[in-house]
Amino acid sequence: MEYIVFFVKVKFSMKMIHCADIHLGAKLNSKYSYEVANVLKSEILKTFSEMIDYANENGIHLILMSGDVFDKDKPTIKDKDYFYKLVKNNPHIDFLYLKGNHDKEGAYIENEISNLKTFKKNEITTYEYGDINISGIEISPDNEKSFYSQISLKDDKINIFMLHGEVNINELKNKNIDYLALGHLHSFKRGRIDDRGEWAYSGCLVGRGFDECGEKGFIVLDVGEKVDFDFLKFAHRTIYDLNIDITGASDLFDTEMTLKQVCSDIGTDNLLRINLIGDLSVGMDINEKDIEMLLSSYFFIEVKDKTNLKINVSDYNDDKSLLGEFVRGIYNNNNYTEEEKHRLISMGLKALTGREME
Amino acid sequence: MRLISLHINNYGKFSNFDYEFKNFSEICEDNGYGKSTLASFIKAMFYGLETIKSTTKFNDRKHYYPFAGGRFGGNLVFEFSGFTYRLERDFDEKSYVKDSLLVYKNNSVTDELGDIPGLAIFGINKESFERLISIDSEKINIETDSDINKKLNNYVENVSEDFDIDKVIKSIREKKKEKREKVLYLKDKIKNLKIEIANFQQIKNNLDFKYEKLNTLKKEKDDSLTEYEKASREETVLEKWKNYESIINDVNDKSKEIDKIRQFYLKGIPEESEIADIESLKLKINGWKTALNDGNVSVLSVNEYERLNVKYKNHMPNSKEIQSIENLITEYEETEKKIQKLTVSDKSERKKELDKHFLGVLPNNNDSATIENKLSKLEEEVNKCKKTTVTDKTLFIVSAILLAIGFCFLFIVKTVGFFFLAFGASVLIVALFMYYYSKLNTEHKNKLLNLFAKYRYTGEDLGVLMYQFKNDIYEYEQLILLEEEKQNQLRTEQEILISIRSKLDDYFLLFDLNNVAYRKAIEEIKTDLVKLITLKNTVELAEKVRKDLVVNIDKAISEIKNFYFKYSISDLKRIEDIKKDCDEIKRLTIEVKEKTDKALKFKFDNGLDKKPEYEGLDLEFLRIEMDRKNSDYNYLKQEIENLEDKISDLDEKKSQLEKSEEEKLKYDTDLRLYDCLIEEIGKADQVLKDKYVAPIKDKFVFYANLLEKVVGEKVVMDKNYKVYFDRNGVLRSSEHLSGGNLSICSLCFRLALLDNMFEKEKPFIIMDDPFLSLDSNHLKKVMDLIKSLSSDMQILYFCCHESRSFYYGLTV
Repeated sequence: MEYIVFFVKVKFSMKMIHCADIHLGAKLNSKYSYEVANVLKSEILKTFSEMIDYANENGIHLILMSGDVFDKDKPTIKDKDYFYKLVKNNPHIDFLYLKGNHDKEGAYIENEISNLKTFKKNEITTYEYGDINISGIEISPDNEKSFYSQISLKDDKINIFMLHGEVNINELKNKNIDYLALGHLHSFKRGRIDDRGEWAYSGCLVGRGFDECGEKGFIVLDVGEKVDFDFLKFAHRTIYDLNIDITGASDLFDTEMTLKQVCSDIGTDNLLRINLIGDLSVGMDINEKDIEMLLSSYFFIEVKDKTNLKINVSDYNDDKSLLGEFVRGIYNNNNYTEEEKHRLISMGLKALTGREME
Repeated sequence: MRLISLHINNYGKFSNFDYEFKNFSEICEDNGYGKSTLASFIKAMFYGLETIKSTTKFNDRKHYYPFAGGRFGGNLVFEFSGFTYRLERDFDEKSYVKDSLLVYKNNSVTDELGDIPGLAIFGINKESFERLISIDSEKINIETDSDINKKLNNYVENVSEDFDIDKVIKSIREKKKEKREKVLYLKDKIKNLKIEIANFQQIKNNLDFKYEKLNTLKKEKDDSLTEYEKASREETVLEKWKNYESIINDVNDKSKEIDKIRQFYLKGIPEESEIADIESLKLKINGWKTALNDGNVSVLSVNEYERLNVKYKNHMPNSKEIQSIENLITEYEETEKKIQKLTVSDKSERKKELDKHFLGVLPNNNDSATIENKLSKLEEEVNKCKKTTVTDKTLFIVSAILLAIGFCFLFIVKTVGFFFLAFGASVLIVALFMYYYSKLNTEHKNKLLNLFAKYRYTGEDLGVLMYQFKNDIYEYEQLILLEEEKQNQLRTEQEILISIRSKLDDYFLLFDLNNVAYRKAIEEIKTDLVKLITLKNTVELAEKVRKDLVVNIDKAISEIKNFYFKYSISDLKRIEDIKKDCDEIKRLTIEVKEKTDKALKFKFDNGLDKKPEYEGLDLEFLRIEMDRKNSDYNYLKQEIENLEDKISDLDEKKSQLEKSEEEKLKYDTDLRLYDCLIEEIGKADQVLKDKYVAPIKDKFVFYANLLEKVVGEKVVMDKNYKVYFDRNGVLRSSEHLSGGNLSICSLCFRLALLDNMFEKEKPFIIMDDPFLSLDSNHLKKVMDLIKSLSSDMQILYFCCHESRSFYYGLTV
C-alpha cells in the first residue's frame, strides 16, 4: 500500500492471520483416555487464545477465519461465550469470520460485536482496509456451483477472498484474486490460482485425531504491494501416525529398540500411533499393551499390531509332531480366512508351547 | 545318517580337537573332560547358538565361548542321503548375526540345507533334537506309568517335557471362559451406554427448544433493558428538572426570610460598620463603668497617706538632705570600725618573744657597751690564738721530743745534745706561755656568757649571741615606738565619733526615730517619702480619671440613642439581635446569589431549556421487570449450560461405546477362535496318534521283546500307550515296575519313536550317561542291547565311570 506523507510516498504493509478449522468443542478420538481428551479439549481453546496473543504481540489487527470455528452444529454456550469474550476483549483486532460447514446457526445468539465481521450466503461481502479488499461468501448446497460467477473483484486493489470447502480452483482463475484464504482441509496446503494469485488452506489450528497428523498452526500474511505468506507451526503437540517395520525382531526387546530408534526425534509431548508392520516369525509375540507401556512417556501412545506371521507351511509338511499336524490342519481348512488362520496358528503355538495366550 | 568326524577350533575347553566317529563311539572320561561340551558342539553345528541378550540367562554361547579366546567354532563331517556333508561354523562372541556357516556337499559349497541344517536333515527343531536325539539320565528317568504315557505323547507331539494336551485344552477353555465373562460384562456395558447415550441424545434434542426459548428470553431481556434505559434517561432529565426547581424554591424561601427580617428596619438596614461602632461603644461604656467602680483609692491608702502627712508635717527632708545624712552615717560607721580596729590588741608574736628577753624594759646603754667592748677584746685574742697553727699541746710534745733528743746526744755529741736541749727548753717555754693565754680567755668568755644569761640568751658562740642580742634590742625599740603612735590615733578617732553621733541623734529626733539604728532610720525615712509621693499621685490621678469617665459615658449613650433613632429601631431590640439580623440578611443574600448561580449553571450544563411534558415512568417497576427477565434468561441459560455439561459426556460415552463394541467384537472373534483352536488341536492330536500310535506300539513291542531278557518280564502296551507287564500270567500295571525297569521302558519308547519318525535314514543318538539308576546286572543287559542296536543306528555314548563303560567295565 502506498500513502503520501509530507509529499513523500511511503509504502506500508499490513500483517494478518489466516486460520480455519479451529473446531472449538470438538469431539476427540475415542481412543483417548478421559484425561487426555480433557487436556486436548482445553488446549484447543488455549491455542486459539494464544493465537490472538500472537496477533497482539506482532501488531496484527486482522484475523481471517475461513470456517469451522465451532465443531458442532450447535456449539455449547460455554464455547461460544469463550469465543465471543476473546473477540470482545480484543476490540483493536478485526475478526473476519466466514462460517463453514460445521458452523451452522446455533440457537445461542450473541448481540452484534463491532469487531466480529461475518459474511453472507447469498451474496459476496467485502470489507475494505485501504487498498486491501477482503471478500468472501459462505458456500451452501444452494450456491456451491453458482457462487463462482458472482465473484467480481477490482483490478486495482489487493483482493483477498475467503471460502470454506473444497473449491474448483480453475473456476477462480482470472478473478483478480491475490490470495484465496481457504478452510476445510485440515493440513496446510498452497498452490497457484493463476499468474496473480495463490491459494492456501491453513489447516486446523490443533490436531485432534490421527486423521490430523503433522504440524498444525496458521498462516501469517504480509500484505503490501503483493501478498507474502508463510505457515507458522503453532500447536503445542503434533500427532504422528507411524508405520514401523519390525521384521526380524525376535522379542519385545528387539521391538522396543526398533521403535525407540525410529521415535528418538519425537518429543514426548506428542501423540503417537504406531502401526507395527512387517513379517514376524513363529513364536514372536506382539502384545500391544506391553509396547504401549514401554512408550508410555509419550502424551498419548497407541500401538496397532499389523504384522504378518511368517509361516512357511512347507516347513511343516514333513513335521511329524503335534505342531506340524496342527499347522497343516489349519492351513488345509478352507473355512478360515487368512487372518483367522494366522491368529489360530499364533494362538495354537502359544498354547502348545506353554506360553501365555492373549 | 552317520557322523564321520569333527574338528573343534575352539569351543569351551576344547582347542584344536579332532574326533573320528564309529558306529558305536564311547567316551568314558571323568567329570569335567568335556563330554557335554562335545554334545553341545554337535548340536551347535546343526542348529547354531542362541544370541546373548541383556535378558538372556547363561546359554551355550556364553557357556562355551573359548576360555582362551581364538576362533570360536569348528566343523562337523557326516553322511546324509548318500552324500558327504561338512558343516563349518564360526561363532561370534554374542550375536548369531555375526556367525558364519558354510555347508559343503562332497566338498562343494551348497545352500540346500538352509540356515538351519538340523531342521533340513532331521525334520525337527532344536528343542525336539534335544529331546529325541540327545538322551541323558534325567530325560530317561521316569517313575510311573502315567509319566511314560505322557512322555510318549510328548515325543510324538514334539512339545515340552511337561506338556499335557489336556492341560492345554483346559487352559484354552479357561481363557475362553475369561473372555466370555468379559463379553458378558461388555454386553451389559454396551447396553447401559446405549441407554445413557439415548438419554443424552434426548436431552440434546430437547435443547433445541430451550435454545429457541433462550433467544426469545434474550430478546425480551434486551428489550426490557432498552425500555428501562430509555425510561431511566427520561427519569434522569426529570430528576434534573426537579433538582433545578428545588434550588429555585430554596432561593425563593431565602428571599422571603430576608424580607421578613427587613420589616423590623423601616429606615433601612444599618451598615455593618455602624453596628460595629455601636457594639464598640457599648463595650466601652461597660468598660468605663467598670473603671469608674474600680478607679477609687482604697481606705488603707488614704489612711497611710494621712499618717505620712502628719509625720513629715514639720520637716519634709529633700533628697540632698537625705544624701548628706547618709554620708554622715557612712562616716560614723567607718569611724566606729577604725576605733574598733585600733582597740583590738594586736601584740605580735615577735613582741611577745622580745618581752620574754627584756621584760618590757630596754637594756641600758652601759650594759650593752660593756658587753660590746669585752666581746671585741675577746674576739681579738681569740683571733690571735687562731692565727697560731700549732696548739700548746703540740708544742709540749715537740719540746719533750727535743729534750729527749738533746739528752741523748749529750752522751754522743755534747754540742748537739745541748743544742737540742736548749731548743727543747725554748719550745717548752713557748708552750707554757700559750697555755696561760688560753686559760685567761676562757675566764673572759664565761663572764660574757653570764652577762647574756641575765637577758635569757644562752649558747656557746659568743659572736652569735652578741649578734642576736643587738638585733633584738633594735627590734624591741621599734615595736615600743609603734604602740605609742597607735594609742594616739585611737584617742583622735573617739573624739570624731562622739561629734558625729551627736549630729545624727539630733537629726533623727525630728522624726521621732531617736531609738532606731541610724541606717534603718534613714531607710525608713526614704521609704516613707517614696510612699507619700506615690499615694499623693494616686489620689490626684483617680479623681481626674473619674471625671473623664463620666463625660465619656454620657457621650456614648447619646451616640447610641442617635443610632436607634436614625433607623427607627425599637429600644427593646438589643444591638446583638440587630447584628444577628444583619448577618442573617447578609448570609441569606449570599446564599440566594450562590443558589441562583448554581441553578443557572445546572440548567445550562444539563441543557434544561424547556421542561418536558411527559411524566416519568415507574422505573422501579421497569427495573423489577428487567431483573425478572434477566433472571429468567440467566436461569434458562444456566439450565442449558448444566444440560450441556451433562451431555458433555456424550462424546465420552460414544467413545466408550465405540471402544466397548470394538472390544466385544474382538472378544467374540476370540471366543469363536478358541472353539476352533480346541477343535483343531484335538483333530491334530487324533491324527497324530492315528498315524503314529500303531507303528510305535509295534516297535515298542519289538524292543520290549528284546528287553524282556533285561527286565525279566514281558512288557506290553495298549492303544493309549498304557504299559503293562506280565507277571506270573497276570497283567500288572507299570506302577509295579522298578525305577530302573521304567527307565529301560522309556528307552524302548524313544527308540520306537525314532524308528517311526526316521524310517528312511535314522539319525545318530547321543547317550549322555543315561543309565545311572541301573544296577550292574541290568546295565550289562542294556549295554548288550544297545551294542546290538548300534549296527542299525549310530550311537555316541558318554559315561564318567568305568563301571558303565562298554570297553572297561562291560564285555562288549
